Amino acid sequence: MELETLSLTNFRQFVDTDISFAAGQDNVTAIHGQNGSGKTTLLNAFSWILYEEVDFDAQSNYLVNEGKIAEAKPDDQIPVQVELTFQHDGTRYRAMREVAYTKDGRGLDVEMGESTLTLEKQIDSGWLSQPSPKKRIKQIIPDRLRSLFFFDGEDIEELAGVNNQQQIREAIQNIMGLIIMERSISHLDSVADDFEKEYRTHASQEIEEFFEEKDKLKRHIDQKETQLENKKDMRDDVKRRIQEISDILQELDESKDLENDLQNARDRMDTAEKQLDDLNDDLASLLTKDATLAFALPVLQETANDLEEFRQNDLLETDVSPEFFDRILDRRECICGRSLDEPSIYYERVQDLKPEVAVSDLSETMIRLIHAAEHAADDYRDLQGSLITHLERRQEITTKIEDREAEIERLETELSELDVADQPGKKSPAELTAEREQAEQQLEAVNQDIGRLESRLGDIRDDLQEVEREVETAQEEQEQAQVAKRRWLAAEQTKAAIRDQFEKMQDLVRKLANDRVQEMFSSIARKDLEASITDEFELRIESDVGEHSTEVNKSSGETQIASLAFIGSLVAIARERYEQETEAQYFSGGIYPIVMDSPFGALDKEHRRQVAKIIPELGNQVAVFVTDSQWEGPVQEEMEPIAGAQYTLEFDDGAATDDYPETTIVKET
Amino acid sequence: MANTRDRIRYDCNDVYDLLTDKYSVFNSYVDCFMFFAAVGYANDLKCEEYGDDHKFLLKYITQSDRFAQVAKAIAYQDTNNLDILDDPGEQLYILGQYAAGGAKLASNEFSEHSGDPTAAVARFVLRHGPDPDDEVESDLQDIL
Repeated sequence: MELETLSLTNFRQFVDTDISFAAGQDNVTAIHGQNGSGKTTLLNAFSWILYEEVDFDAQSNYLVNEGKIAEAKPDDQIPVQVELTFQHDGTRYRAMREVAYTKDGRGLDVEMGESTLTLEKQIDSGWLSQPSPKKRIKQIIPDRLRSLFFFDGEDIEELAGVNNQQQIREAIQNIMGLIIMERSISHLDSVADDFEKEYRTHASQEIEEFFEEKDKLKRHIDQKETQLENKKDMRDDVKRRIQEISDILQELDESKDLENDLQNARDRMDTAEKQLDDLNDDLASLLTKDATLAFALPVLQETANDLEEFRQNDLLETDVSPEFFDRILDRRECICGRSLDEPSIYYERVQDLKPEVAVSDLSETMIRLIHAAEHAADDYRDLQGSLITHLERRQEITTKIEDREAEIERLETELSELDVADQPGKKSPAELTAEREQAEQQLEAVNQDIGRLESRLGDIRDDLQEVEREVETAQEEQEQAQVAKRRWLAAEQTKAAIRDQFEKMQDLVRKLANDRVQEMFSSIARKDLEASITDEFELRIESDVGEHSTEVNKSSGETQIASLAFIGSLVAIARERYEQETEAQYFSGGIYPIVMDSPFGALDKEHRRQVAKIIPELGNQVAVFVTDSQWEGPVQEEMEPIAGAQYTLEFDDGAATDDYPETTIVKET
Repeated sequence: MANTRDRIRYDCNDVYDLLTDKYSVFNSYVDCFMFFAAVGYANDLKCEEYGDDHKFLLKYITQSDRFAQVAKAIAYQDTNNLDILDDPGEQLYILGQYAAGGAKLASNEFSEHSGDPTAAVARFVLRHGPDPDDEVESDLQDIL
C-alpha cells in the first residue's frame, strides 16, 4: 500500500482540504502545526476511513465540523467525507467514507446517520466500484497490523519499556499472521481436554467392576452347583437306602406280603397321580383355547345381533362410500345438479347422508363378528362338554388317589406293628419301616433343598446374564473410549506439531527483527549502546563494557529509538516477505506505510535529531505529524532535506473573527 | 389408528404368574389377559386406573381372529360407537381396564395356597358361563 492523497470534507476542523503524500526516494511526508491544530485528527481520519474507528481521547467523537453545524438550518444535512487514494499491487484505488449529520427541527441537536464506505479501482475508462469494500480494505491492510503502522508516537516507546515482552511477542505474531496458529493451539487444547474427559468417562472403572461382579456370580454359581450336586448325591443315597429297606422288607417272611402290597399300592398311586397330571394338562389346553368364551360369548352375540339389526333396518347397507360424499361436498354440487353452498340446508342434508365408517370395512367387520359369534357358541358348547367330562374323570382319579393313600397308610401302619426281628441282632420290620419313614422324610427335605438350590441357581444365572449384557454395553462404551483416546492423542500431537512450528516461526521472525533492530539502532544511537530482542521477546538496550554487556537505564530517547527500530524491522520483514514471492504459509507480507503522530514526544534535542534520522529508514513511505515546537531545530534540520512533501497546519481558532475553529493545510515544498 | 408395533400396557399382578408361569393353565400372558378382560366385562368390573408397568405387542391380540372379535365386541358394547370397530388401539385400551378388573376378581378366586388351580378355573368357567344345554345341565350340577 502506498498512500497518494487524503482529502477531508467537514471532518472536524478540516472543512475542505487535502494532502498528497510523498513516495519514492524522498519518502517522508512531514506535517507540522501547533498544538490542537489537527495532527491527531489526521491520524483518526486514517482509522475512520479504513476501519470506521476514531479515538479523540477525552474530546468529543463528533466528526462533523463545528462551524458547518452552526451555520446549518434545522433539518439541514451536513456531509462528512474522507477520501483516500492509494496504490496497491500496481493498482490505484480510491476509498471514500462518508456520513451525514442532520440538524434537528429545533436546531438544537444533530444526529449522525449511517456511514457508507466505497472503494473504487482505477481502470482505463475511469473508476470501477469494488464489491465488499470493507473486506477488501482489510485484505489490503489487515486490522491486526493497523496499530503497527498507524500509531501515536508517544505510545510507541512502551515497546521498549519494562515488561513489554507480551507486546513485542504479539507484534511479531501479528506481522506473520501467527495469531491464527496460536488460536489453533488454544482451540486444540480445549478439543484435547474434551476428548480426554470423554475417554475418562467411558474408560471408568465401571467395566472393571462389572467383571468383578461377573466373577463373583460365577463363583457363586460354582458354589451352588457343588451344593446341588451334594444334595443330589444325598438324594440318591437316601433313595438307595429306602430301596434297600424296601428290599429287606420284601425278603423278610413277616413283612414280605405287606411290603409287596405296599409297593403295588404305591405304584398304583404313582399311576393315578400321573393320570391326574395329564388330565390337568388337557384341561389347561381347553381353558387356554376357549375359557374366554365363557364370559365373552354373550357380548359377542349381543354385538352380532346389534349389527344384524342395523343391517336389516338398512342403517348400514349402502354401496355409497364416505369418499363419494366427500367428493360431492367438495365440488359444492349435488348429483342432481343442485348447488351445495355452505352453509345451506342442502349441504347439511347431503352431509347427514354420509356414513361415518367406510361401508366395505364395516360390512366385513360385521360379517366376521357374526361368524365369530356363531362359531363361539359352538366352541363354547364343546368346551362345556369337555370340561364336564374332564372334571368327572378328574373326580374319579382323585378318588382313586385318596383310596390309594388310605391303603398305603394302612399297610405302613401294619408294617410298623411287626416289631419282632427275624433273627437275633437283626432289625424288626417295625424298626425298618420307621427307618424308611425317616429316610422318606429326609428325602422330602432334600428334594425341597434341591428345589430351592435350583431356583436360586436360576436367579444367579439370570443375574449373570444381566451382568454379561452390561459388560457388553460397557465394552461398546469402552470402544467409544478408545476412539476418544485416539482423538485425544491426535489433538495433542497436532497441537504439539503446530506449537513447534509456531515457535520456530516466531523465533525466526524474532531473529530477523533482532538483526534489523540492532542494525538500525547502532547506526543512530550512541556507539556504546546496543538494542536487541531477547529470546524472551524483550526489547533490551545494553551498554558494552569491555567484554560484558549490561542493561542500561533506558532514557526515553533510547527507548523511542529502539521502539521505532523495532517497528521499522517489522515493516522491513513484511516487505521482504512480499518481495520474495515465495508461497507463504501464513503471511504473504506486504508494503505498508507508516503514519505516526508525535514520534518525538518529550525528547531532548539530541535524541530528536537521532529519531529524525531514523524515520526515513522505517518504511517505504512515512508520514509524520509533529508539533511546531518539536519541528523547529534538529528535526527540521534533519528532515527538511529528505522530506518529499512538507505541510503546515494553519489553525485559526476563530476568536478574532467571532468564527469557529478551522485548520487549513498549506503545502510548503 | 394403532400400529401393530404399539404396545398394550396392563396390570400384571400375581394371578398372571400363578395361572401362566407356575401352573400353565394359560399358555401365555396374552391368553390370560383376554380371559381376565372377558371376566371383567361380564362382571362389569372396569378399573380405569391400574398398574401398567407390563406390556405386550398389540399384534398378539389382533393376529388372533377370536381375540380381535372379542376386543371389538367388548369395546363396541362399552362405547356404543361403531367407529371403535376400526380402532384396535382404542379397543385394547378399554380391554386393559376390564382386564384389570377381571384380574382382581381372579385373585380372589384362585390362590396359590389351594395348589394347582386348573380344576378351579374350569369350575369357575362352568359356573359363570352361559347356561348349558339341558342334556349337560344335570352333569354340570353334579360337578359343581
